[in-house]
Amino acid sequence: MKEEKIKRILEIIPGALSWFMISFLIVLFVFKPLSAIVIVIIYLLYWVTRLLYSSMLLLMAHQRMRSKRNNDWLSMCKAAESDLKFENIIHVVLYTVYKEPQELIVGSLKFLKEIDYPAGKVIVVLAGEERARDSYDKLRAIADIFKDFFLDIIITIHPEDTPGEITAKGANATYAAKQAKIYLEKKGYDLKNIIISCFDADTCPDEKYFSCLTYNFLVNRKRYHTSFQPLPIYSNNIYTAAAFARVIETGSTFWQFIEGMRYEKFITFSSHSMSFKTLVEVDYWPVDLISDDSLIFWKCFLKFKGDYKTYPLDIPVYMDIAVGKNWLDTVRVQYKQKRRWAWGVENFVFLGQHFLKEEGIPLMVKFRKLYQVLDGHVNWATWAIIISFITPLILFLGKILLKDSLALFNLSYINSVAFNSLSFILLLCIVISWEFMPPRPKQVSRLVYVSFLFQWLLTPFVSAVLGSFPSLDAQTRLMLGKYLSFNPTPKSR
Amino acid sequence: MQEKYYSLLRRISFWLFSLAFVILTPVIVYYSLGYKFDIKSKKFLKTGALSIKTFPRAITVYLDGRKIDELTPSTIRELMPRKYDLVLEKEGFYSYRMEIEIRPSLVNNVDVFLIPKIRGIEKIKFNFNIYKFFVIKQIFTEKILVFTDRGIYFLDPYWEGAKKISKQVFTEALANSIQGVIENNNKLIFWNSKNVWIVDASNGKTLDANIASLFYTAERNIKDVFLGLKDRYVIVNDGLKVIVLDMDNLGVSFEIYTLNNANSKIFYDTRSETLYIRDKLPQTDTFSLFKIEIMPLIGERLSDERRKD
Repeated sequence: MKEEKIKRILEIIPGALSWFMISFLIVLFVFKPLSAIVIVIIYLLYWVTRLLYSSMLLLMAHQRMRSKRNNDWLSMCKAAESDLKFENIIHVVLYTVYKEPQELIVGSLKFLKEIDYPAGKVIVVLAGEERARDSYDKLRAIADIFKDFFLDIIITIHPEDTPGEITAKGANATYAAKQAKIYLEKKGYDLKNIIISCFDADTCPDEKYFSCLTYNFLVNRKRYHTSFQPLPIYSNNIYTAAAFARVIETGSTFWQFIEGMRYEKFITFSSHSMSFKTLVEVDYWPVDLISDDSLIFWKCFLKFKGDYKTYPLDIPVYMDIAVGKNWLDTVRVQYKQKRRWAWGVENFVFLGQHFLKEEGIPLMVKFRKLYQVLDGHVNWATWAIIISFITPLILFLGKILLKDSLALFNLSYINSVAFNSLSFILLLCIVISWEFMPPRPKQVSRLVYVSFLFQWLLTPFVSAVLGSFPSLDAQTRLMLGKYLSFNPTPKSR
Repeated sequence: MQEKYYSLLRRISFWLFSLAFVILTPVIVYYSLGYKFDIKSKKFLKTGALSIKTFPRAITVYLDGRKIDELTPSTIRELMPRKYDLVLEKEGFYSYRMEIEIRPSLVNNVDVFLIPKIRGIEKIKFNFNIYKFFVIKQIFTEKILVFTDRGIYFLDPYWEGAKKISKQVFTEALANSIQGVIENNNKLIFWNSKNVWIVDASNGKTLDANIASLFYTAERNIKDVFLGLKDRYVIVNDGLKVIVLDMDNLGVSFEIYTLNNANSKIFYDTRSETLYIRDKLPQTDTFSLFKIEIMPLIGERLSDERRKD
């Protein structure tokens, strides 16, 4: 009973904080306009500083990625000084599949086939769902195409309505990993030498991804206490996706890019890799929660009493931009996808509950981690709304009510400085995003580049509508106890 | 090694940006509220600001005789609260001088339109004796109609030439008595207190035919003239009655309403084809407002007819 109460309190905190921040400014402006203006000035200065710091990190991350990209990782693997032997390292690449079309998965496996790492040391797990009726036949057909290229291809079908599970990707991945473990043990492989990569069906790894991953696994002394994070680049269908969808997904890539520079705060996101041994030790991905990709990190963090990190590989995996049947449907699909990502706020509840029971982690570390999750999610839900809507609203009303106020006059000036800093970062994004662009398909006109340039003007709109609103939606649902069900993003190419 | 380098650089940046935020935020907030630290008195003083917008831009600003470096639009901050003498100057414009008051924590917003010094003014290229002119507003431009000693003309937009509308010459006295002009489908209607004239200036007509025809002569004074009824008629209030005159068939007219008072006024709304009349109620001293909606009236008459059939 007590646990249930604590859980509810933890569920309420992020949403309540976000709503408080938004409504507080409006209410304060009504009763104490000058105080509201001062707070908005401080808030804007905070965001200008944060954006400039982020752009610094972005530049550093970009530089680091460029230096890593030129490495001959495979040769480095062979020459690596490690207690493990390169020859013994086996990769298990797990693709979670639901209703994705066959050609999409075939496309992803074609990429996997082209990696510079010996494909003979790669076991592919195609993890289908029983609730998608044609799963087995579809995966069997795919396996037949690629059976000669990899060490083996395992097909698993996750049974429907398993007790204790929710309908989510984590449950499917866990079932498939458990089947893979049985297979690996039967074949006599040592789990210490196995690296598992959990990919979405549309994940296309860069040719150097597995060699880079292997090298870093070999040389990392804390390899069993480390997850390895690729850089997710949403570019597979970039030439056909709507401009606003490109902006939001490129924003996600840059966010990962920046986060990768903050080692101590970096956690797994979307497709990621880790030791199979560790995965088994932490009892796989959560099967009763939605945000499996980040929760696996926190499970490891708790299991190893805080001694667990995510290492940014800075080598990309290419993924699809979520799109719908038309422009409006794309807005809907994007909104739902971002809301599901924002449901990662459940990490706060998960951590809070476990930190109360967990005694091996220092109190300060617990607070820092809880604050990190809370700060990230509350800012996600509020910053674009405050900057794009609340501040202009205060400026607009202020010009009517406090026409001659010097503070308001200066707020208007600081607001323009904030937008100029945003433009500076956008300029950086434009330059850097150009590097991630796949070759232009012949049927696409060169004029598409014009829209690639002007798409960034949509940033204020996109940040609010597809950034903060879905996050606020997710937090509000959690606050009200209206839990989100897993909503798979439709993917087609 | 490289990882350590990035880590170090990131930590340095983090602390630098954090330090900048911690130090600069109070300074900027205080500055935004108008506070200024006075070194002499070692006290925080509350100041005000002056924001100047001008048309045209780039005007030189003098405040208490001191030239401000920034041209308009400009903002002068950290001004001590008191009265100042503001002068705005630009070559070719009249200097603008005013007294302004700066109050603590407030901005005095000055928005000024500067008047250019008039040197040479433009004159039309021909030497007619202009008796009277009218500016007829159109959707995107305006036309200038002139009554001259050589006839009636429309000036071209650049004043380079003029299009003759009628060779008929009105005397200076008659031209000056003209009260209004309406132009519609190349038909020009103008009137004074007694008469309404019409000139058909459509292209099919020869210039000789463009004689201003006397369209209507009032028994009393003409008060209002409107175009109406699908722009086919001229509606005239002559102080006794409201009469409509067919522009296409001169001489065809209808008296549609008899007014009760010489001071009655009318207004015709062409959009709704409605005639509004301010008229005195019979046997009283009270004026009231009446309206005649032409289109429903037509419908009503037609249904009456159908009923009879």
